[in-house]
Amino acid sequence: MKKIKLILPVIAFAIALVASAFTVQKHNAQKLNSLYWYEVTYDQDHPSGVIASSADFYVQDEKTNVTSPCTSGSTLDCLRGFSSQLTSFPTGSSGSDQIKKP
Amino acid sequence: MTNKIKSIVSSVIISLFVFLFAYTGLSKIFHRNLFLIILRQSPLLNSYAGIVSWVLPVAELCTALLLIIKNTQRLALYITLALMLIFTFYILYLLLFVPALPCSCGGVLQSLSWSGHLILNLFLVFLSLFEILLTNLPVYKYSLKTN
Repeated sequence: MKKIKLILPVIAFAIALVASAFTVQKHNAQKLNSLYWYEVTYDQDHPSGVIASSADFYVQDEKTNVTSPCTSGSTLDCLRGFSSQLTSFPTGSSGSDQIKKP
Repeated sequence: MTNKIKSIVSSVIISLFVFLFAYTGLSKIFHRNLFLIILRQSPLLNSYAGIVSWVLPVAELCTALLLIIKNTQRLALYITLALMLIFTFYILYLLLFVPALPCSCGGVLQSLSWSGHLILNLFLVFLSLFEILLTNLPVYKYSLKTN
């Protein structure tokens, strides 16, 4: 009885090790990469950028598929990506990902 | 319930949690990039995604190991209950505010819906509570000592 009590959790760990090593998670990787992208504007009241309204929604897609409306750069956010559609505006949130502009 | 049955039930429950924590912890490590992407989309965790992507799977693996070691089983059961409660409240939050976000849990559990997850987690909370109560029974404590 004592041996079973010891061996059973060890077997469970070993099965978990094998099962996790052979689990494929490709499908969800594609699904979750798609974001809701919004254009960011800058003004005196919002020097770090703001998404003013729902009209700033640009596209829903994976980052690699998004054609930015800005010239590529590295300083300011051109587009900010969110995992779900924004419901409150204006928002200064930086989102899950960003596409930069000069 | 006789001592023998209690002992078997207890071993099965502990083994189930060992499997759960080891499987989800290792899956998160083996597929860390994917785990990180999901965490970055979480409104609660995106600022700490890098740290959480290591701390959470390591905590799960440590809990699994503590559950295996007889002397640390009771402590591990309390950690299990705490972790399951944290996960359940996190699922509740996501279910209410960000239902579009995929689950950042490891392995095949990722294919469950949020409501399915909530039911599973509530069951696991109940199970960990049951196991804690079971191991706290005086008769069972005695049988542990004499085994």
